[in-house]
Amino acid sequence: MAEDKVSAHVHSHEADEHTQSDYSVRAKALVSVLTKKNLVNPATMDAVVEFYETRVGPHIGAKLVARSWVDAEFRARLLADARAVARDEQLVGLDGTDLVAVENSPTVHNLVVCTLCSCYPWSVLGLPPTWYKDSGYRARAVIDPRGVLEEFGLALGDDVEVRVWDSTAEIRYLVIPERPPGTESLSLEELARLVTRDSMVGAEKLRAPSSPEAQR
Amino acid sequence: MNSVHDLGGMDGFRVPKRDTGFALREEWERLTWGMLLATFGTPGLPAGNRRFIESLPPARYLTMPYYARFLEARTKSFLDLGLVTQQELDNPDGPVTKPNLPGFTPRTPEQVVRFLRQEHSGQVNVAAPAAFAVGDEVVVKNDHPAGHTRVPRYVRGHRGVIQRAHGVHVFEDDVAPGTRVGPQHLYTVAFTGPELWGSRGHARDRLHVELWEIHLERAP
Repeated sequence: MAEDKVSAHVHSHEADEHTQSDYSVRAKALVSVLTKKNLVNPATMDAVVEFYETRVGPHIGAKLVARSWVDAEFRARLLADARAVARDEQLVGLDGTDLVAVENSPTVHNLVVCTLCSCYPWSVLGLPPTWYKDSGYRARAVIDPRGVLEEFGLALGDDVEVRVWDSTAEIRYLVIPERPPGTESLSLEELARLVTRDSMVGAEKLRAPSSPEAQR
Repeated sequence: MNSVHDLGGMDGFRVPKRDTGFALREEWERLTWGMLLATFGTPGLPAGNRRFIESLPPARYLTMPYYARFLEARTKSFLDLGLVTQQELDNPDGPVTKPNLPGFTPRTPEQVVRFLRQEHSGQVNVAAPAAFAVGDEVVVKNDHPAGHTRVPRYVRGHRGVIQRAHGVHVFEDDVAPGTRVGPQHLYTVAFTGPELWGSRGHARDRLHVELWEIHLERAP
């Protein structure tokens, strides 16, 4: 888009690269002092990172999505009250307890953003990707969601309704992407493996497993 | 607060390339995130960092790495509480004074995992009649508070429809000193593209924002 190329770009992730080492010094200093004062337990810090690196992540949301593709009753429950489903499945946690699920279809596409901050359903998708926290995404997703999706590689026709969800409170959104064609014979586990993180934010559509794009 | 964190609808930004992989890339990001949640619940420490982050000078806010905002916020909180001093941070290998927190022990790994797995809902069990129902037309009050608010500028003064009712939720905005606003009914409000963006809005776009009852008026 033409408007992308005019002004001096502010790109939060790239602009400050030269001070990464300053932040490293400051983070280490704070943690060192807190540890010596017994204000933090370093093993607890490791447990936090390990929790978000291995225990919660998009694989949890993917299981919900795959199940919603094969189990109509489950899908109806998820769409009606994802919060109750998350509680039943013991998937609640920090950021994501008040969960709402929204479904994509050939005529409706959902996109999730947090314009004020970076709110994201940690309990079912893990920590948000860098692009989701980027100022450019937060600025543009609400005024030009179709343009953003096009830059992400997804062109939508004018007949498709785009629904943008700006997470300004504690409600967290999970997008149920469309089931790709050609997946009728796959098991639940195989289906879950097809579901990408970005598809559950609405940033992409899922492709059939045999397509060249899906083989990447 | 009408600061730059309220980014919705601003021009001049580039759409990022989508990245893959775990969010915490640098060692200092892992330290910051681990410290942030491992120290959550320290006596006196504010639960949130958004007020501090929104008060950062706009140019700094936009150019700082994401996790640096949290590092700076939490550092400031520890300094404000007197639990650490600038001298100690400047010379982390030097002597430290023990904090005056009798009986305090930092969270254990088991405690933090339990905390991360608990229900953290904004909803509270308060009986209050709801002013609006799904389908009602509402207008967002045009207000520009100097403190923290969850009403993005791009919806203020605009007309929308109640799309979903979430029950009573903790109110997150700052209120004037000496006043108190209790928990409020929370709603998802739907707006059309043209209602918010005029000729740049697509007629088939629907934008949804969560707003509390106090932010809304019945549409005339």
